[in-house]
Amino acid sequence: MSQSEFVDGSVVGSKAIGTLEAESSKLESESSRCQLDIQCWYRKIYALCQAKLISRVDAEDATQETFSRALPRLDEVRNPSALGGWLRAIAQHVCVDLIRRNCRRKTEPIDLFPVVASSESSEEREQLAALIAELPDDLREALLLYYYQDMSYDEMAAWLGVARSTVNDRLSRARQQLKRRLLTSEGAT
Amino acid sequence: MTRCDEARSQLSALLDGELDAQTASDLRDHIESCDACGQEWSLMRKLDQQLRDALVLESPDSTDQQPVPTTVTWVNWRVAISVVGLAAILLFAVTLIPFKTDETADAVDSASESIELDATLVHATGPVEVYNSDADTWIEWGTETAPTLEPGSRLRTLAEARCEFQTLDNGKVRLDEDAELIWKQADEVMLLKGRMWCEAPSDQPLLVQLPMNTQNQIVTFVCPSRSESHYAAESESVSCTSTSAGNETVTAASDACAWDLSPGETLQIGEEQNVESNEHLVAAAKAWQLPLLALPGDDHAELSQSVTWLLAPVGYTKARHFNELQIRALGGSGAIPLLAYVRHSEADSAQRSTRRRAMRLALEIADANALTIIDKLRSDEDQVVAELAERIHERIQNPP
Repeated sequence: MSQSEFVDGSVVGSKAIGTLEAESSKLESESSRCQLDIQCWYRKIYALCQAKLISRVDAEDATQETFSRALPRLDEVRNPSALGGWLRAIAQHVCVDLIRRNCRRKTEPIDLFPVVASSESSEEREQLAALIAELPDDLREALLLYYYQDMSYDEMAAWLGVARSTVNDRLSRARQQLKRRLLTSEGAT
Repeated sequence: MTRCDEARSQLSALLDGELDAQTASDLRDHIESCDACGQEWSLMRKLDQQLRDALVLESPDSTDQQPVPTTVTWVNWRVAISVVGLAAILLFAVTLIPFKTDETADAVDSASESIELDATLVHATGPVEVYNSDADTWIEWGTETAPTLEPGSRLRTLAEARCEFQTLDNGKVRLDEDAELIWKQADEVMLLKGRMWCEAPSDQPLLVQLPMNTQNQIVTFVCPSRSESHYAAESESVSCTSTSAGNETVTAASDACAWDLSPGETLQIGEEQNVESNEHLVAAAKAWQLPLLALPGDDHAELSQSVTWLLAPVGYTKARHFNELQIRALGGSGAIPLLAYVRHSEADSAQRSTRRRAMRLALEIADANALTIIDKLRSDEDQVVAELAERIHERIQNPP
């Protein structure tokens, strides 16, 4: 059984891989490498979009839109190492377009996470979502990347195009800020 | 900057396993000796857990699947021929075996000395029993009996017992706990209760029959050679999933209908009949097999493939949450394969995130049976894994 066999049935995956196979005349081994890469990028792109848009529904839309825009133009990318930056640029454009279209981004905190049934934990999560929504975009992206993708600092640095120490600093500041505000709100209640 | 300021600026990196060994060790020493920093550290870990619980891409309500619309089709001539063939087999089967699922059901006439042995028990995680029709009792397979099954044997697994057996021609059949089947002949089984997965031999298909007691009929599936499929026999319904992307079309036939199943599709027959493409059903079919893949003697290649698939369904945002639920449902026996996977995989960047996810899941479900393997993981080269192993160890030794 291949590892990714039904992952391909995913929202983006199926479209992405289908298009790749249809449009790419590369060798099979090359196309399977692209397929894996797209799967790796999904969460990174999603984290980027959610850092900018906050709403998970908008982030899902933007992620799909990013891949839809990228795939027909995949053959424009000559250097495989530039692919990540190229995808990132497309995602940023997509987010800007979406923000413009909606005039403002949605900031209902509950929309950051999926809804949960238990009222007690949903209250906690709502509070946490509100605090994450208040973080600056770059801190939020580092946080989302880390928790969605379990990326190492080196991988995040390469993806974000910043130094490893900057990744460390962003994650540390994001956590410190959340911790401080959670404590303050606990103290207030 | 005081030692405490410096320490606090490094807590985040310590949490993420991103400090070098010496710095991490110095920092831990400081945390242990300084109450204020110790408190900061425990707050940081608490926040980390909150973020981990909240920041998942999957929705807890993962039931809003979108099955492909029902595609019940009256099949082409090739299948029509197989339907005729199946009807003949069914007639034969019904004549030979009046199927019943209650305890008093007659086992098939067996034990003829001239019959060649057909299946061998490869391994099991608990007791597997074979019905002895002469004595009208169940006896444990492999103890009082030889570890082989004769045509017509009836066997069952008890709670926590999953097993795998191999046919003479290298087909594989795995049975979930609390399941029962009749091994009719080399290439034909009837699942009476529970869940079963099979891989048909390389040169011939495997026939799987599922009786539907409520409708008094048998549904017969043909799993083509080298293909893999999964079956579930419940009181009100039966189902079959074609579990591998490399499968040939799995065919099914009942008294009145016939179906074609493409890879990834599931046929459910109960009050209604429908074919849907649902990744969650494939995941559920894989998850219960994990304890069988982690048994000693196995090369763990399939285990690694399954765990990676279940914990890293990148691109399908709700899948991982659902897959983790399936593994959690295995309880303590689900932790062993996760830990075995971590133990036998490299801590390189390709597997690091899956290894850590496996450890976090094991933290929730591991029980005392996992202690031996956890001990080995406490010195894992990935600091996060080692730290999680430590926490699992603590939790098992001092249950909340």
